Formats: sequence, C-alpha cells, structure tokens
Amino acid sequence: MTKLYTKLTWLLFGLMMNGQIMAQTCIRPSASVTKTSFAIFTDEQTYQSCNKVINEYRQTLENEGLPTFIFYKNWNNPEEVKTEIRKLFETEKLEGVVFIGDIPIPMIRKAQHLTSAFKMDEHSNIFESSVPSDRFYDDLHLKFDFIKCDSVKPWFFYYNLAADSPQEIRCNIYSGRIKPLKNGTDKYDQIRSYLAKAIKEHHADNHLNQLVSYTGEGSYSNSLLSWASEMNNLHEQFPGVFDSAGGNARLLRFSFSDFPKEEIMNQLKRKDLDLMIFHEHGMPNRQYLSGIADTYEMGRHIEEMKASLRSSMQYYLSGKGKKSTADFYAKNTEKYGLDSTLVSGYKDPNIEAEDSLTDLRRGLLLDDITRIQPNTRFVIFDACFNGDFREDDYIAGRYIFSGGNCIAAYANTVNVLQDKQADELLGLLGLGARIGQWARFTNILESHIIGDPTFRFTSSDSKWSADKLISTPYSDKELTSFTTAVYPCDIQELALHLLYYRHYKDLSPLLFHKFKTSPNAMVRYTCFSLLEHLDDKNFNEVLKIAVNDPYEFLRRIAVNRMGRVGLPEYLPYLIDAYLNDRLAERVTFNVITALRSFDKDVVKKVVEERVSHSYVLDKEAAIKELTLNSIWSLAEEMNEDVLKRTLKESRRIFGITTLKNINIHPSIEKYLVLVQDPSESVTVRLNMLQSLAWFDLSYKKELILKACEHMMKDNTLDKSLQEEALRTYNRLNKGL
Amino acid sequence: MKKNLYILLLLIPVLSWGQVKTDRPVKEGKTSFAIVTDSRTYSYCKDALINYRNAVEQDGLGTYILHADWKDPMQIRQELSKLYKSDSHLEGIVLVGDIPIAMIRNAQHLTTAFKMNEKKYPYEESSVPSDRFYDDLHLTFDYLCKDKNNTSYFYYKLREDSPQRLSPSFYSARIKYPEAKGGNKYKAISDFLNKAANAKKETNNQLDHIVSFTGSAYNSECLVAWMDEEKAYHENFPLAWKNNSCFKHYNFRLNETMKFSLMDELQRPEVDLFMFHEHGLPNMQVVNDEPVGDSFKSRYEIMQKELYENTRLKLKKGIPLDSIKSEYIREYHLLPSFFDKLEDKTLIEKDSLTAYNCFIHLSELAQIRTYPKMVMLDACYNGSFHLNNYVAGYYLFNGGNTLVVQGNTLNVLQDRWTTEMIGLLSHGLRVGQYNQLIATLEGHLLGDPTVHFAPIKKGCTLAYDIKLKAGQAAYWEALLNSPFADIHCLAMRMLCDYNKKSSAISGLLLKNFKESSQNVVRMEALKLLSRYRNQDFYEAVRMGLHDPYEFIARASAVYSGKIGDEGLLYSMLDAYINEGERQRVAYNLNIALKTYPQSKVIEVAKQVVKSSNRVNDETSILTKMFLSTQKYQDKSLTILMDKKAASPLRIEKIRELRNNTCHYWVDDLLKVLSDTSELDEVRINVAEALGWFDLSIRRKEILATCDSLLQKEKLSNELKDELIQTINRLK
Repeated sequence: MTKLYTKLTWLLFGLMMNGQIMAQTCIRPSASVTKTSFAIFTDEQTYQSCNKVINEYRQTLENEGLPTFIFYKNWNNPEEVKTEIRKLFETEKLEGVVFIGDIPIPMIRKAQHLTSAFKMDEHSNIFESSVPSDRFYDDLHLKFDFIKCDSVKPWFFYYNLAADSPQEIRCNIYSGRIKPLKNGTDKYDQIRSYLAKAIKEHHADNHLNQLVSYTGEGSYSNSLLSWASEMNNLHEQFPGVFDSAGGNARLLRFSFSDFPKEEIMNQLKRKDLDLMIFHEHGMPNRQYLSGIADTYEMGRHIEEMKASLRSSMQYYLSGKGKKSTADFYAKNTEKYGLDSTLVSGYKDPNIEAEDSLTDLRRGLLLDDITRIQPNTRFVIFDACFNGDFREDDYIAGRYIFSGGNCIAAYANTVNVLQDKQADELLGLLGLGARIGQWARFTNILESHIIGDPTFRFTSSDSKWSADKLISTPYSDKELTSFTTAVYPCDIQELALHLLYYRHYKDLSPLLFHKFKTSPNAMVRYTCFSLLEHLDDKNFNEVLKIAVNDPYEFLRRIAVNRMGRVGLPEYLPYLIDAYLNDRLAERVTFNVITALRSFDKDVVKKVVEERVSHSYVLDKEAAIKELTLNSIWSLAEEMNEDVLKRTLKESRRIFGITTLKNINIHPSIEKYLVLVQDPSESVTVRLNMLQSLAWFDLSYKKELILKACEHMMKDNTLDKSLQEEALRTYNRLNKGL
Repeated sequence: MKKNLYILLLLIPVLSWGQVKTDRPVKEGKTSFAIVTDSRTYSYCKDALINYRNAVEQDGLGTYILHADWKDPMQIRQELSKLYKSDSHLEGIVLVGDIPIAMIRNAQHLTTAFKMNEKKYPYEESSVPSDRFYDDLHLTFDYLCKDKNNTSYFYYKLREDSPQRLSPSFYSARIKYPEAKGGNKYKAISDFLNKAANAKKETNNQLDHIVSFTGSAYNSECLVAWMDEEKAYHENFPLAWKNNSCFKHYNFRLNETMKFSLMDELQRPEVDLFMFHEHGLPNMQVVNDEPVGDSFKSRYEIMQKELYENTRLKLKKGIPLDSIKSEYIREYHLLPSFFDKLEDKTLIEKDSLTAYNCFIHLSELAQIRTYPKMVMLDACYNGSFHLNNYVAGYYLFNGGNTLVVQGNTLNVLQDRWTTEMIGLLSHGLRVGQYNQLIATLEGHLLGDPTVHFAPIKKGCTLAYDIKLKAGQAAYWEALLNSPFADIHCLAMRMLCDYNKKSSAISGLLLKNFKESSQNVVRMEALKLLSRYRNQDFYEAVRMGLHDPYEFIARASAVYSGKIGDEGLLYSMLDAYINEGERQRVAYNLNIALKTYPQSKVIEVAKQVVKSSNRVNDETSILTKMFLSTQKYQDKSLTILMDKKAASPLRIEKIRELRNNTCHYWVDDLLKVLSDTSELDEVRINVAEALGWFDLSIRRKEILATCDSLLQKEKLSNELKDELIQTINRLK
C-alpha cells in the first residue's frame, strides 16, 4: 500500500513537472532580515503534511537569530528553485537553504574536475555518469547548460557545466537535503520525526567534545603514518577540548580487532557522541569497515585459506571467471599440494550462508543502521557513495531517519578521492559554526549535507562564536589580523578562506608566509590548498617545502602536485622525499606515480645523484626501486598510442583519456601539434582538448592556453572544437 | 723496549694496590664532575682521558680524575663519598674501563620488573648489576661475597634499614668496552673519549632531530599507545617539528623488515636522539615479528614454513619421513606433493633469513657506524655492561657520532614511563642529569653522561639551577608557569623533592593534573601524587583511567590495582568495558581487577554494562570471567592459610602477591604474619610480600601490625629484618 502511495506521489510530481506550472508560496520570516537569513524549500505535499513541525523548525531557527523563509510548491525544475535562492541571496542576505522532501535533483556533467575523483566516461549511461549535486543551488557563480530531464525518473535534471562558467567551486551559501527514504515507512512520518529530533537538538546545550574517527580497511593504503596524524590535527583544531578531562577523541582502526563492526556500533550508540568520522570505502547501501583480518596462528591461517579458495571456486562456478572450477582446482592442488577437502564446502549452502554472515560482519548495512539508531549528532563519511541521494535508500539517509539522535551527515554522492582532506576547518564546529557554514568552505561537487545544515554545537570557547564570525562582514584588514598565530588555528584558516573568496590582492604572499611559519598542520594545509587555487610562483615554491612537511598528508599531496606541475627542478625533491620517507606508503606511492610525468632519462640521472648523497646504506637497491622500467612502461606505451596515427582511433582515445590522470609534461608540445592538426579527426582532437584541461597545474600551461586561444579564434574550426577549446582555456585560466 | 714497557705496566697494579690518586680539576666550574678509572686504563688512555677532562671542563664542569687499582666497589664508593662531602657541587661521575661491578640483592622493589627468586637461582643470575651502588649514597649495603668466576662481580645486599627508594646523589655512566667485539679495548676507549671531547666543540647543536621506534610485541602492540606518544613528544621536543626529517615516529608495522630502515636512520649525522622502545637481549634488538598471514600466499608460506620446520625437527628425532608426512597429510588436508620443496635449499635459506631479519644482531651493528648523539635502548638487557658483549657498547665504540646510550642491565617493565623528563634535554640538561631524575636499579647510561644540547632559550641555566637552586621553592614555583611541559614537570618534582609540605603540594599536584592540557604535565602530577597516597591521588587515578593520554590511563590502571580502593571500581570497569581499543590499558586493568573482591567487581560490571547502551549485553561473559578469577583466588587463599599445606606451595602463593596485591586478603595475611605458631619461613615471606603493598589502601594497617610485632614479639633475626624492610618500604 505504501509502495503504491509513493509511486503515485512521484507520478503526480512528474505530471506537474511536465505540464502544470504552479506559483510557489513564500512564507516570510516572522522577524525582519537584518544580518542574515535562511530558507526552507519544500514541495507542496510535504508542506501540507508536515507544516506544523516545519513551522516549529522555522521558529527554532528564528529563536537562534536566523530569520527563515519557507518556500513550497511542486517545483518544475531546479532552475525554479535556484531563481528563488538567487533572489534571496541578492536581497535578503541568505546564508543557507535546506531542501525538505521532493526537490528536483540536478545531475551535473562536464564538471568532473570539480569532483575529487569521479572520471566516468560521459559517453556511457547518462544517469550513472552524471554527478548529483546541490552545488547547482548553492554556488551561484557556476553556470550550467540544461540538457534534459530524465525520461524515466523525471525529478532528475541533467546539466552541463557551461564552457564559459567559472571552473571552480566557491559556494555563496550552504545547503542541506532532508530527503526521506523509500524503505517502507511513510515519508512524511520520516520528515516529521526527523524535524522533531532536530528541533530538540537545537535546544540542547551540547559541546563538541566526544569524537570518534574510524579508519576502515583499504583507506590511505592502510598507511599507519596517515592514520596517526589525525590526532595531532584534532588537538590543534579543538584546542584544549581533547586534552583534558571531559573531552575525548578516539581514533579507531580496522586492525584493532578481527571484526570491528560491533565496536563501531557501540560507539554509534553512545548517547554522548557528538561527531563520528568514517574514513572508509563505501557504496550507497554499505559502509566497508574491515576486510579479512590478519591471521597469527595455524588454525586461523587454514580457515582463511579455505575461505579464500571457496570464494574463488564460487566465482568460477558463477561463470564470471575465465577458468572452470575444475581448472582452478587442478591448478591449485598441483601448485600448493592441498587436497580437495580444503575447498569442499563451496557448494554447501550452510557453509555458503556462514561465509555470507562473516562478510556481513565486515560492513555496516542499511538495516544495521536502523537497528543501531545512531546517536552521534553529526557523522562525516569520508567515503564513496554513502550520500548518494539518487537512490531510494542510502546510508547517510538511514543515519538521520533512524531513531537515534543523529541530526546530520556529510557524505558524497559519487566516488571520492582517498588523498583528499576530510577534516579541514573542523574546529569551527567546536566553536559553534553551523554545519552548513563549515561545509560551504570545504565543498566539492559530490559532497552534501544530509539533514539539517543549521545544526550547531555550543561553542567550547566562550570567547568565540564561529557562527557570528562567519556572518560578520569583516574588512580585509580585520580578516588579515585573524590570520595571526594568536587565534585558534581554524579561525586563521577561516580568515584565509574568506580572504580568498574576496580575491584579497596580497593573499599569495600571506599564504606563503603562513605556510612557512605556522606550527599548525591544518593551517599549513589551508595555505597549501588556497595557493594551489591561486596557482602562482608561490605555489610552485611551496611544494619544495611541503614535500618535507611534518604532516604526512601535506607531503603526500605535495608529491602528487609536483607530478602535476612537472617542473624538472622538482626531481631532486621528489627523489629525496622518497628516500627520506620510504615507510610512508602513501607518499612513496605518489612519488612513483609522479615520476611518470617526467622524462625517464632525466629521472634516472637525478636518482643516481641523489642516492649517492643519501644516508641510505643499500644504495644499489634504492636506485633499482626508483628506476624500474615498469614505473614508466604504462605511460610510455600510452603515449606512443596517443601519437601513433596508424592505430585504431579507440585505442588512441583510451591513451588520451589516461592523460587526465598522468600528465606527461615532456610531451605537451606534441599534444599541441596533434590538437591543432586539421588532418586529425575531430573526435581525437576533442578528446585531446578535454585531457589537456587536466594539465591545469602544468608548468607548460601557457603553451596550452595559447593553443586554445588560437583555436577559439579560428572560425574555420568545428564548433565543438571551439567550445571545447574555450572550456579548456577556462579550466586552465584560473583568473576567471 | 716494548717488552720492558709491558712488564712495567703489569707491575702497576701491584705497585699501586689500594692507593687512590685524585687529579684535581684544572679549571673550576660552577659544578663538578669526576672520572673514575682503573690504573691500567688510566695509563693506556691517559692522553684521551686528559683530552676528555679538558673538554668537560671547557664545557663548565670542574673535573676530577680518580684512578687506582680498585680493590672492590666499596673502595670506590667510599672515595666518591669523601669527594661528595668535600665538594657538594659534584653532579656526576663516569666510570671508565675496568671498574668493579656491584651486583645488588634484596632490592628487587627498586627495579621496574626483575623478580627472580633469590633463594632458588644462582647469585650471578638473580642479582642486579647496578651503578646505583656508586651514585646513590643514601642507600646502605652489606657485602656478601665476590663471584668465584668473574672477578669483577661483587655481591651486596641492600640493608633492611637502608632507605628503600632511589634518590641518586649524583649521576653516573660507564665507558666499558664489550671485549668480545675484539680489537684493542684501550684504543677503543681512547677513541671514544677523543670522540666525546671533540663533540664538545659543537656548542650550538639543539635537540631537533629525533627518531622514535616501537618494536614488535612492545606494549601489547597497542597502536593507540604508540599514536598517543606523538603529542607527548611534541611537548618534550618543541624544536623537532619543523619538517619531516626532524621527528620520525616509527612502528614495526611499517615494514616487515624494519631493521634495514632503522640502520639507515642510524646513518643520519643530524640525528640527536634515537629512541628504541622494544624488546631486547644482551646481543640483539627485537624489531619485527615473523610475518603474519595477510593473504592466501602469505598464509600458505607460513603454513609451509612451519610444517617443514616441524618435519625437519621430527626427522632429527628419528621419526621416519613417511610417518611424518602421513600425519600432516591427514591433519592438514595435504597432498604428498606438498612436501616437494622440503629439501629446497633456497627455501630453507629464505625461511631462516626471515627469522634472522626480525632482529638487529651484534654482527650487524659491528658493520656499521652509528651517528645519533644519544641512543635510548628502552628494552631489556641491551645495556648489560656486566657481560663481555652487549648491544649498547656497539653503539658507542664505532666511528660514528654516538656519545651516550641509555640501557638496562636486566629485564625492564614495559609499562614504565620511559620518556619521563626526556624533554629536559631540550633545555640544556646533561644526559646524566636527566637520567638521575628517572633512576631505576637496572637503568644505566653508557658513554659520556655530560652530553647536552644547546637549550631552546639561549642562556637557560636550568642545568646548573637543578643543582644549585634545588631548595629554593620560590624559584621552582615560578617555573610552574613555564610553557615548556618538562620544565613544568621538573618544577613540580623539585617542589616535592626539596620542599616537602605534603598537604599543600598534593593539592597543587591535583590542580595541575586537572587543569593542564599537556600530557606530560598531567602524567608527572599523577606520578608525584602517588608519593602522598591520599584522596587527591585516588581522585587523580579515577580521572586518569579515562585520560586523553593513553599512558596516563595505563598508569592509572596500574595504580588502581596497587591502591585497592573500591571507589575506583566503576571507572576501572568503565574503561575496561568501553575503551577496549587501549589494549595495554585493558591488559593492566585485567591484572588490577584481580586485586579486588570479584563479587564487587561483578556487581559494578553489571552497572557499567547497564548504563553503557552497548549493542550486546556482555554481563554474563564478564561474570563468568570474574567468577573464574574468584575461584582461582579462593583456592590460592585457602592454600595460603592452610597450615597443613606444604610450605613451598604456600610460599608460592605468597610470592604471587608481589605482582598481585590482593588488598582484601590483608586481614588474612596479617593473621598469618602475627601467628607465632606459623612457620618462620611462611611469616618471613608474608612480611616480604606485604612490602609490595606500598600504595595499598590497607598500608597503615600493615604498618601498624609490623610495628607492633617488632615491639612486642620475640622474633627471629630474619623475620625482624624483613619486617623492618617492609616498614621502610611502606612508611
């Protein structure tokens, strides 16, 4: 019955989209707007079903000094919503919005560079290869070209990021989504219950002083050095909070027990837990917490070997693999000398059921979350897909719509990069920032607040209210003074972000100076990341320092960016970083990856020179590790494919696409010849233009810009090439 | 000519037997130092000794040289005592060459962990080689005997009426060559002394390059313990966070064969301090575990290695191969082909290399130079200088830059605070001065104890003030406001050591414990509070069980077991049940909880689980576990109290109390102690066991009974001595 009801609702929604145009209703705030305002956007039916609690929610916000608009109608498309947001932003000092119920979902394309990792071929399924993103609503700088409404699910609207749009995110406001689940319960009941608990938590005088961060198996290459550094950041970001009685920050890791799931569940159930951070792998319906635990004694070794063999047998039995079960079995018995009883259970339904139960103990699934009723007030999923609100049911939604006290989640709609910073500015939450105010500065295309973005903790330092700090229109001079070391480190970072938003003219030297002098890892990170946006000489210089930063994450990304800039002068730094940091898996991995962007012969010379001067005892082994032909073989093969005209076009395009991930700077001149060569096909040239847009940090960027400029002006060119040249030009020219 | 010289040198001991020569300082300093050496070393290494003496004096310490053909340790002690009386500014000594070794008995409570049965095991094994004999002049000893085989070992017993806590009068170190290394030991000592003298020319080197390594099986391999140290290190070493090379915080898990990376790090000339937190033996450092199973391949290889090794062992025992094979084939579901590589030499070599690479061996250390100025070997036995081969010696006697090594002569507790006061080295304190503050019976410095780094603040006089202003309360009170954690710690310590107004200080310490955001300040406050054994201490322990710093929680867990106040049980069980990721805390709580009545433990555990909102109700598992402990304890107590039971068995149960102070047994223990019809042997052991109840909530009752027995009863001398010692330990 409920299912039918839900279907009908969507049908109605779809009809409205396609035909009827209804005017929205706007309920103005009860108080006049002076400093700031907020807006609730909802659909007609949600409002009619939940108006009592929506009004109470509004009243709660207004009592906090946040005048709140309510807009409700059956929205025809995202543009309608955005038009209202823009008006409020321009005239009513809007700071944020929340979308409750059925609000159209923008599906963004040609903007993969605004994601941290998503690089799906956009020629594939449009639904899968688009990024559901509310940046459409909260970043009013960005321009979009409408493509179409989804034919099957009419509440999805596809947009290309316009070629002439700014090519980076600078959110004007914050946003959150309260989108109920299709999990069998009435969606309006879900909204009513959710808002009732959100209102309750708004009234609680609760400091953010109980935190758990969990790192799942496979995150950051399981690097211990990456894991351990988070505690230092938390101490810096929450000064005094986790350093004394009453405060507690716990860093848990997948390796603490064979099945950490139960302990995670215990943590989520803690009534005092304020913030839970998950660094893990994820899907819309699962959090991957742990893998197969290490084994230490014979019985356990054998048990896991058996499980592994059974799993392979089942795989081949399903026909997915190239071998037959018999082949696999024969090979393994021969190779290992193990008899058939070791794999005998693979067809036994009881053993299969046991294996599947064991697998369930390694992750949190949708129903687990409903059962746990998480009490953590806020949860961050530094993971792929946990916030994929395209789905009817998804992890982040379960957290907020379950019975516990969880008010908001920060999660991603698509896959996400592991080497991204998940904790920047987190200290602002401890100083009373609304979650939305925090997220506004750290957003990427795929990140979203699921739940109430106005939720905040009581500031743990009575001198500071981050909420006020963010909404006060300080002058450049005042903001600059906030960047001095006497202020808590996240206030320094906030001031730097605000200066960046305001295009403060002397920002680059300020960032460079702060990077060199700040003892705080996260302040240095902010300087680094803003310098990367500015992408000037100071950024090129800061890499040389950052590559030896005490904070492992900075070293890791500095190494990566050296590969993306490609200056040959970086090579000694890269090699030294490798030699000096051989135990930091994630750094060495990034060094090896970065080396592919350089000329192999030059690298080899530098390696020999640096190793001979290093303190490493086994110099021969170090040279061997750093000069293995396999480091370059893939890149070389791919590069050859790109330039070889006799090859099949599809193979060349594959090679060209790979350049998005591996920027081979020494070949840029050749790529530019190719892209401007009228005898090359439009498809090849288009793809090359797209890939060149990923050379946005390259030291040879000027050459690409010039070529694009030339192509933009060349009216004899195919229009698509001209447009792509403009897009690439804008990606590379960050002055927009 | 050479031959004549040799004969002449051989005659030196005869000619100078017993005569002590004291070379007075050439240059006066604010404080002074003494080099103690034997006549032969003096003779062979004179130039180097003078060179070293001059360098030390140039560095501000007036330096004596005492040389003689020492008869025994007591002769040296008496000379040092005389010197200390005549020059109260004497701050330290170094023992160079062949200096007799005091082997201490009846003082296991002054070690962190050594508890070998002195009656059961030979003197050589059950005594503690310790230079506290030389540097702690408060202690009193009785001479027992000289070792029959090793002429440099002299056995002493700590007197029962001696002070029972360490409080070295000055610091000490040894420069003793590990003779099994080969070569000319006098040349090696001279080279070392010249190296130490040359190093003093560098006066601007600050403590800003450090490596810390935690080895396998250390602290239950708890990663939280390892991670939490980093904040403490930030406090200890404020200069070491400029870049990644400044502080490297390593764990054995970072690589399967960490030793190669560690040996690389030992080559860095800029490293000032290298800390090894690990297990050890006199001839090796334990670095890694053997590989764990983390994939099908690794599990198979482990299985193959283990079964092959077992097969080879069984073959050696004469069991036929076919029968071994068929046993394993049956047990592990194998095919005969599993054994195809049994004789594969490459595989055998690889397997043995895997095991070999878990350790750093002396043969490897002999091949390299080591450059860190100071090396901490926070491990058992690495500092066993009484043997002719020991790890610490290899760090000193090579062509690198290592000047001083901290090591232990015996096994050592993992749960001691191994980095206490280490941050004082950032402020110019000499390594000896730092080591003096954290003395244990087994802890020693090898090398030059006068090594120091340039202080963070130029002109910092802490290194002298610690000696010259020790009793000036106002000076130390002002330093309680120092932003530097270790200076704050030292200020608290000096106030406790020299300005004993216990009630005021205890309150001050508790305040510091509650209010400081610095890990090491809170830990020092907690440790110092343990001296006062009052409600302030109990409150700090209760809070400490949940402290953000894992080590404070761990120390609190240990203290909670030693205190026995049931008011601590809720916090203990809350930490035990709800904070399990602190594996080493849980390990210590597991021990601590055994000192409480298990019925009470169960009752409180139920309350904790009920209020914890946990997924599963663990009450029944916990109840079962605690009931099993109760069963064991009831059985032990019954044996202990049973006069008909064999006395060795009763004594075994009594000796268990040394590690497991069951406070609720005290009534029964005092009953046995007071019972004149009991065997003297049993009463003596009970008296000794009660000496370990120094922090117990029942301490005063124990003291009262011991006092009363001493006054009223006629006792055997041995029981009387034991009671005196227990009183001195508990008072």
